[in-house]
Amino acid sequence: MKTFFTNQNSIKRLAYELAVTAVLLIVFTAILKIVLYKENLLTLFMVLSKFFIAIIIPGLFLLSYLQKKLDFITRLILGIVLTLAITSILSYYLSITGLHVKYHPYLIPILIILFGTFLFLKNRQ
Amino acid sequence: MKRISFILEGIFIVLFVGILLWMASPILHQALIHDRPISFASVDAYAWYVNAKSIYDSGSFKYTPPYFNLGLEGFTSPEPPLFVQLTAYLTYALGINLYDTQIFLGILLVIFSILMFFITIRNYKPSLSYFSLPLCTFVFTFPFVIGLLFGVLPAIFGFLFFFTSLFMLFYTEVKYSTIIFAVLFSAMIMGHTVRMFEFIFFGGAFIILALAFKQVNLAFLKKLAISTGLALIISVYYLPVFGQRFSPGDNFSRTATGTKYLEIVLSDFGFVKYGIIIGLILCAYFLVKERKNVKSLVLTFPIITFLLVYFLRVSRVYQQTFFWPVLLGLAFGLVLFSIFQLKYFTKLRKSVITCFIINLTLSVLLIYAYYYPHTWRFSDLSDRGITPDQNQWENLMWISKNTEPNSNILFFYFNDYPADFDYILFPAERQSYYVPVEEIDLAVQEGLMNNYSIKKEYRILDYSSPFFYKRNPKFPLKAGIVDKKKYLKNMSLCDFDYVYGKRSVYFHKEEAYAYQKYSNRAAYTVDLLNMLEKGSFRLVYENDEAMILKNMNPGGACI
Repeated sequence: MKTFFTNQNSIKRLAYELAVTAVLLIVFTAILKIVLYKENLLTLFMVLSKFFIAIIIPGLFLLSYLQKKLDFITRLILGIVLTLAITSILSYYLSITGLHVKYHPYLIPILIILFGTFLFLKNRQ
Repeated sequence: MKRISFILEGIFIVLFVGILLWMASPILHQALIHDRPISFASVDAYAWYVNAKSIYDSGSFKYTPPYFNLGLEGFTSPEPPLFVQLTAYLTYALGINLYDTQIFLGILLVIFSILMFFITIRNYKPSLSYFSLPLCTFVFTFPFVIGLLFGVLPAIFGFLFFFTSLFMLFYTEVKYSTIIFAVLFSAMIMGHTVRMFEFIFFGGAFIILALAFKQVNLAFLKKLAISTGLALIISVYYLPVFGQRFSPGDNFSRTATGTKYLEIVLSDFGFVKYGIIIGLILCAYFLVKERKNVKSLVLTFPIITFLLVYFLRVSRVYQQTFFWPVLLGLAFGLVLFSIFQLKYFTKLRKSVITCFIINLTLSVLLIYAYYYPHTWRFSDLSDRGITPDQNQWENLMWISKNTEPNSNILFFYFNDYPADFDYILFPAERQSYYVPVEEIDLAVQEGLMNNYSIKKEYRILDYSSPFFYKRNPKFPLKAGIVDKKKYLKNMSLCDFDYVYGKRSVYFHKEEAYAYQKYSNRAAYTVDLLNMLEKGSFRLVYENDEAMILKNMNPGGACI
């Protein structure tokens, strides 16, 4: 837990952040169940899980190289926005080159996570 | 201490997002999955839906489907591509209906924009960021929420990157910030280009003041210039088509008015507007007072948005008002912040918990005063508006699944809105035509005067996209407008493969004055369809709402 509050780039810290993200998934599923009370709990959990996999986790990896510079909350929010931007731009150009959009959710999050991991390892101290 | 503060702040943010989601829940009718589009209160919502649906089906935004352009292929859309592309992408990723993804994504984009501006202010003064949040609750109150309900979604999409670009202005020293800026600028250009235009004002004011206060150097400007160049390169495929929208005849640069909801003014904040005005003055004061702190330049943003909307209300700049609660929330927060700087509150202002409690209490009070009394408007707008009812939606879906892809359909009478073109028939995914409701009223009048006779000739209009844009086949980065008129042809009843006719009208108290007129239209339509059935048309589908006839001899003598 201590690692989470230190200003250093480390795999251990990234692991803690992923654990916090998992907690956030459960918390937001509960919140959504309260506000969207007509919806099935399992449906909400599944949709939110997929959103986390498609956008939030890639965002966390993407900015993991900035662990030292930005705190978790800032990186989480900025990471989501950057992932939305990169995903939409990449998806737009991939589809124009002929790859049907239905295949993109299997490809783009993995590409962003790999790229984020590369940046993280490159900038690790 | 840092740990406790982090956990407390995290809980506070989660709670606040929960409040925002609760406020947005009437838009979703308290559910995520629906049988038909909900809260599609304007033409725009359908425009993005049908564009995203075309990407979902065809796989790309390269060409518009033939039913957009009179059954012709090879045309391209000048609409900003990123929001619709993301909607199609997330529909596959999340596994829900496309129309559900669209409205849910819209809500999430608004919330992410609020959070983005929150962390921008937090970078300057954390307690100020907490005091700025209560006003953000106005985003989901009337009239500010209208951007979501009217489906101005690419604008909202663009705002997210606009806010993020503002945030990044304070983090230019971050590694790879040039690339981050390039991605954000490109997302603004291809997401909603007007946001890039607005960013020039905000970024320009930031740069001028930062230079005046000697807070930035030339390297900062160089970085922004390189990012802009990269963004233009990334957006190169879209820009030539977008450029055609500035050609004579296109209505892109019009100022949107005509509905009370789009004319948002400061008075829409109620008594809070006085707090905002004082806050704007305080912003100017603190800017001068703290000129040596580059982070204080965040205070320019409320002033710029206020001036921009009041003095440069051109084109889509009015859309800034949808996010006034976020931008002006900073001015409002500055008033509270200044009050807590008084010596009476020395102990209170040091407590993070106190800030959170004040924020949440104020948020609840504002919600109680400005949101709660108006929640009925959500159902009023989302149930009526131009949102189709269950039967109408099922009929459109039946057409899309059970008619031949190249068939053409005459919607003789679909609904009572006298819109020339509103995208609402496009979910049928067929080349469509329609008879204006005024033409039906005229036929009803003539019929009443001539012993209930039924006309055989009508003014039939094409139901196609206003955009007939094509890329150069040899050089796709060049695009041009094609004259739609050369593809138009006169159509008569017998030329159609299918004819759709509304057969029943529901009584709405608000529209009681027009009930008789609507009933006459429906009765006339049923008579016409009965007449067609005696000829070469056969009934293939019917429900309480409408009948659909198929022509067994298209182009021949049908009556």
